[in-house]
Amino acid sequence: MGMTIPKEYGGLGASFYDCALVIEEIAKACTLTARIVVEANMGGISAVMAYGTHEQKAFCAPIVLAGDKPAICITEPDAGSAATEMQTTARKSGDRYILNGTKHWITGGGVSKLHLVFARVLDENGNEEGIGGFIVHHDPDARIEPKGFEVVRRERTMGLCGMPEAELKFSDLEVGEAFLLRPSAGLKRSFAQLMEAYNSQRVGAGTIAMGVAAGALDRAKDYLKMREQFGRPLAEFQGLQWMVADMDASVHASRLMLREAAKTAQVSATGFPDMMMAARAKLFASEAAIKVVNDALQMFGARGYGDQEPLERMYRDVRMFTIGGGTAQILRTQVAGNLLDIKTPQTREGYVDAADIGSVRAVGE
Amino acid sequence: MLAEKVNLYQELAKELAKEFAPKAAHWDETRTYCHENIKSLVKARFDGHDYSQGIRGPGGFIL
Ligand SMILES: Cc1cc2nc3c(=O)[nH]c(=O)nc-3n(C[C@H](O)[C@H](O)[C@H](O)COP(=O)(O)OP(=O)(O)OC[C@H]3O[C@@H](n4cnc5c(N)ncnc54)[C@H](O)[C@@H]3O)c2cc1C
Repeated sequence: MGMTIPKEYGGLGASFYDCALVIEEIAKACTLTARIVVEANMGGISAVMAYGTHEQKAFCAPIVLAGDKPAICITEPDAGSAATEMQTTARKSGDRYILNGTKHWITGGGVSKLHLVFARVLDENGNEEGIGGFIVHHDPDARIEPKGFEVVRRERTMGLCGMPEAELKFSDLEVGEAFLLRPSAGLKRSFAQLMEAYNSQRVGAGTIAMGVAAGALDRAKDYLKMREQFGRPLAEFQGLQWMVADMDASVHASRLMLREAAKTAQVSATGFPDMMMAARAKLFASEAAIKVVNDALQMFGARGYGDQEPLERMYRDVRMFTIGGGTAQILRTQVAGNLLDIKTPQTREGYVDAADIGSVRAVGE
Repeated sequence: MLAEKVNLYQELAKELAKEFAPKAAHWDETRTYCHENIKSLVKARFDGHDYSQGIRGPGGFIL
């Protein structure tokens, strides 16, 4: 927990690359625990460590090092892929902000103590200043139960069943202004800067998917050597050999892309992985993992479909990685925009108002 | 240096994974959060507190 937190705040100061190596190994064994490792090192906590004040870092680090998996709260019922359409507001009132709104599909909702809540920041007159991230602490065991913070319900998910995915409601929740993360670019560009931190989370999520796939492949290889049909080990059938080769190529390519993306954090100006490389790696790894795990399950025949092997659980677990943390479609849009060096506004107004009509045609037609 | 350190983190993660694997089905079936695993992660801290015995990096460095 917190291996990427800088040493001066009690962590190890490990790189995202180091962390990715750890995540892969843990994901081979337990997807749930791997997700905790991701969120205790990347995403929300890494945003605090990059953009927070000394007080914010000193406040958050010990909580994570003691075992908390911070929650990152962006998605709302009417703002999924279109995250910047979020309706949650944080209105300034003296030295505090008053938060109102609903977030859903919040990983760890109900068990996480630290929350990085994204909201539209309004000044005292109600004028919008940008989207900001607020650090909210909720820990009923320690009787830290801020008024106006409610865990409304938990979703019933197909996979990663040990991880609560919850709806959170904020009703006049008061947060001290000292808990607003203020990236250097100022509030107007705050969301974009905070999302840089999300590139680390994407590398982490992609690495979990790849790790699950690598684990499934290992199991499939063992099974092919052990199980016999037609008087021969399954491993001797070319139809299955070629599947194994393709699975290995997919896992290896995913691993290389993810590690390459993780390494860029060590040289980038932001301290986070490159956006394009992170998006491309997560896109590839998440889709490849679903196929690899599915093929591994196939190799076990009926045994793979039942619960005496972990393949059916791995398959359910791995399915989420093309959805959570930026869907495969949104990642494709980001990658394409970067490759073609064009803006890819997704709103109708974006197309109509875009300054560069040439690029509008290129996307819209 | 990085290569040594990287390997040590990975070795430590492999040790922890052995502990986590048998319980993965339990968290899934019971839909419970793995507080127990978190305790192990905190204890390990990835700085060798609990796993200092017998874990060696390629350069012979002991974690
Ligand atoms: C297990 C899980 C954990 C999650 N954890 C968190 C969390 O901790 N914090 C958090 O804030 N959120 C979390 N999310 C939410 C996640 O980020 C959103 O589900 C995701 O951004 C997509 O939003 P949506 O589900 O509302 O789908 P929608 O945005 O409604 O999209 C529906 C479909 O349309 C596609 N689509 C949408 N717009 C476009 C477009 N412009 N071009 C092409 N296709 C498009 C999408 O790719 C998708 O296939 C989690 C989700 C899951 C499943």
